[in-house]
Amino acid sequence: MDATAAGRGKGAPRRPRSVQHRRRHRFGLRRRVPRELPRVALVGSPNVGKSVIFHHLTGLYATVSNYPGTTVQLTRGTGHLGGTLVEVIDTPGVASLSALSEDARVARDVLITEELAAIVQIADAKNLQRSLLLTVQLAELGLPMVVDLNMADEAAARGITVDWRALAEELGVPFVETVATAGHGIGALREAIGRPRVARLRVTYDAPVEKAIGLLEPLMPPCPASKRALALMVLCREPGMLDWLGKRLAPDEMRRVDNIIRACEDNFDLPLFLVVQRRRREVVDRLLRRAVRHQPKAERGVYPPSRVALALTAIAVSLALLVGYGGEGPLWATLGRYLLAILGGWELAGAALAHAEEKISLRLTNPLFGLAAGAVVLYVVYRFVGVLGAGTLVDFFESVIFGQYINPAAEHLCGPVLGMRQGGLLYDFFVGEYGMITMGLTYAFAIVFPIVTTFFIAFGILEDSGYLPRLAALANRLFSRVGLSGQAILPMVLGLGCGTMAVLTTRILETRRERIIATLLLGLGVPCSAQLAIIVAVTASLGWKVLLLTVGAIVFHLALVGYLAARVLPGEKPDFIVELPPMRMPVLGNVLRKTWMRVRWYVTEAVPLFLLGTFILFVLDRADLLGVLARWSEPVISGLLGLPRQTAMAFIMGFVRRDYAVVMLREATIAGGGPLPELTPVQVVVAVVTVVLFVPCVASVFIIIRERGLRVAAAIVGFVIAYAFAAGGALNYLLRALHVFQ
Amino acid sequence: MPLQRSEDALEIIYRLKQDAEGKPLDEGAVREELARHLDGDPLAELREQGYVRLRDGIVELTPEGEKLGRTTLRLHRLAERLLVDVLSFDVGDAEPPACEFEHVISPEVEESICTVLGHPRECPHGLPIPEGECCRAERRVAEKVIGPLAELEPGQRARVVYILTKNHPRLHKLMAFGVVPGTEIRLHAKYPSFVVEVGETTIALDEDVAEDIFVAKLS
Repeated sequence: MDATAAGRGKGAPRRPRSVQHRRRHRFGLRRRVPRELPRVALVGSPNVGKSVIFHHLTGLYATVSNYPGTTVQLTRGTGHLGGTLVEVIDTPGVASLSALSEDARVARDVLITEELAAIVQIADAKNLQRSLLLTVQLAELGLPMVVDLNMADEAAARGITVDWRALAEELGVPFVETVATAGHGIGALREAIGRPRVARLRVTYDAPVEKAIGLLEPLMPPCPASKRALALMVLCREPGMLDWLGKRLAPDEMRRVDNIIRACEDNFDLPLFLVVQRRRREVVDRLLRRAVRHQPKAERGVYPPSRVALALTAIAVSLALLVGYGGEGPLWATLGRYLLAILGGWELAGAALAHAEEKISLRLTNPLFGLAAGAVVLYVVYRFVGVLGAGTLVDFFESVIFGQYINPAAEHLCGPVLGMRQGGLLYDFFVGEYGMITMGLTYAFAIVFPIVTTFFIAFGILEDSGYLPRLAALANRLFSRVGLSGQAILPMVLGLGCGTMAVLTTRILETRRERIIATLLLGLGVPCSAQLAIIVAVTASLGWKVLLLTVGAIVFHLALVGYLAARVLPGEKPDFIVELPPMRMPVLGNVLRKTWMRVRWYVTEAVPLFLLGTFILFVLDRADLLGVLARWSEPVISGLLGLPRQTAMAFIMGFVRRDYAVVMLREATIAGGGPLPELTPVQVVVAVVTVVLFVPCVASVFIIIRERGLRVAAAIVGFVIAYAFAAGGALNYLLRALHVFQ
Repeated sequence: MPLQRSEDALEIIYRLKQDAEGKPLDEGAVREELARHLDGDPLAELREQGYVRLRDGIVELTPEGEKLGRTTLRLHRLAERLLVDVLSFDVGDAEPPACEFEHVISPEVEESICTVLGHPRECPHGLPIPEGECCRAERRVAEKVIGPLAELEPGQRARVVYILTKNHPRLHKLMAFGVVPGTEIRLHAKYPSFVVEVGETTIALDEDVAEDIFVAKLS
């Protein structure tokens, strides 16, 4: 790093409070980053490979924290770049600094208020017109910068050559070319970050605009970014800028600012941001003419046939193992066939994409092909998460790790070693029926952890492949009936994995109305993976009709509530405009890194809440209130729902452990197993539907409180409880009246 | 009074009437506005020809006067649209020729122009264009050259001519993806969502947004 940047570290004045942001995690695993490190910010549109580059530059350790006063998360890490240790900040993906979403506003704020040693723009090499627009805006900030033209391979494949040396010369800024997914060019990028330069670019705007800028500049408060850039943002009435300015200027100065802006606006029929944009586009067009050439598309190399043959062989062997040994069989056979199927499938997918990416990519938004593909994806995910994760791994963790080692050891530790009395308060607190270890930790780690981890892996693969926006495009029309846009598919799908994470993901939705509706539906009826596998097992054992009826009822209620919520809540459906990035083979390293970060989140955020829920149950049990609660709810349970009164326990338990409720129900369908009498098919359907519609687990409830606020959360929970019982009751009467299954 | 002068005067009065939104037109205000563009006493002349009535200091348009004023205003604004969208005039430069055109466009030509432009609802300044018969009937006399993206068929290529929306966030988003006047786009699919290719970017949109993007079909 050059002397100025490094010098800014040690001798710099203490940063003002507003710039310090480390959110306090109560149980957090926080890696302390010394404040004196020079900072580098990565900026770019979404889908340009920013996070892959971040991963290359910083390695595994990254902290995610909220930008103060917002719900936007920034990822920070450290890396050795240009010879020194540097802090790298990954800003949210934005296409331009015109801040229309909270994400864009935070990106802009980071750039103009933090003292940055360098801005690194990650640009899409094949979409230079869009990227250069951002480059021009960044250049105007007057901060040292570097531009990385990523996805150079995709540009080459489309016959686009970029004379990046010409661009570097024109702008006076280092340019590099990279293919982040393959790791090409990263070394050059690291080195280039060590010598960032302030761009020598000047866009001359229309005379009235230049005049206004000249009048505004002296009024701008001091800040790292150039006053010209600030003045332009204020002039264009960028969201949040006038408020920001208002906090720093005297009222009469603000009036002057307002007058200057109005006087300028009077000169044009168009809003100023369009006037400004027009000139920027001209500069970009000039740069493009100089540096970008289109050639006939490069001859697409043929995917090596030997690899395809190998892939097909692997799949054939896997099928042979399946046929030969069936579902049971030695461990090596089971693991072996999974491994071969996965490897073979992966290779084939790679081959398919290499040959026919465009065709595949388009067909996926076609309803027939898209739904078929969706069904296939669903099946594969079910095998991976539902069978491997929820089945094999959970059994292993629960019976072996916790069952044979941890729980007995804990009991031994508490009893004989520490001398707690069996059946006494302390003993039960730790290792009793509702013990922190025997129930809380066991649930969190033996049951939920393997499931959410496998789910996050699967989800990360789907994310990186570019499939999800296409799914959103398919879902948009349907979702708009319930007041959601296609983007809501993301939290909904995540909800099938872990509802807690799904509620968190509703942040990506643009309007508050959408976020509330999505949270409501997630809280009401989207079953998380901890429930799903068991639900399927319970209902399927009674025949496919029961399964169909159950699923149908749940979907019906989700649609109904969604539709009504959309009518009742005021507001407009946000616009659905999403980019469909080219389909790519995911990079395993990136998937694993993302999974690691999500798992870390789970351990630090969700696990404590499960322990809290267990504690609540412990207290209720100790105070003999569980029994009381069960008795109070009996009239509803047996009267309205037609279920044996013992199922009340299942509902209460379901609040802490989503699967408990269903496990008890499953045991009841096996004659005489478990604490419940055998249930009839009608009772099973009613019970399962009501349990699924009932409140989400304690962790989800706390997250909902945090994300949507106490009032909205209370409304949602209250509604869900009432609705679940009402729906269950209605279903009960309907099935009996129609003599279904009788 | 030559017809052209009547038309000009009535156009002004009709515009004032639109701005007044139902309130009566004060004679003094009308005279003042007319004086800005025409000399002499156009109001007296119009009254003689039976296009306006003067009563208690209020100016009223007769049915004939209303019709002529409205038609002239419509032609004026259609002409502006034609000059700006199809002939690539700057908005500022389009005013003088539009003032001339409005007098020479016959009803048949008016219908054709309106249809070719896709029955535009606003002039380049954002002011409303009074509806014509063709708009109401939506007859396709000439095949539309310019129309909303929502009416293209999959596989067709077109060039973006204008984006008609007051919704700034929508405009911003579209521009960020490169959907700006002048760019070439290609429609890939319409159902269940619109899939459009702009340069090297592919985006998905819903129908509401597609209806705001006006394009000119290519080839």
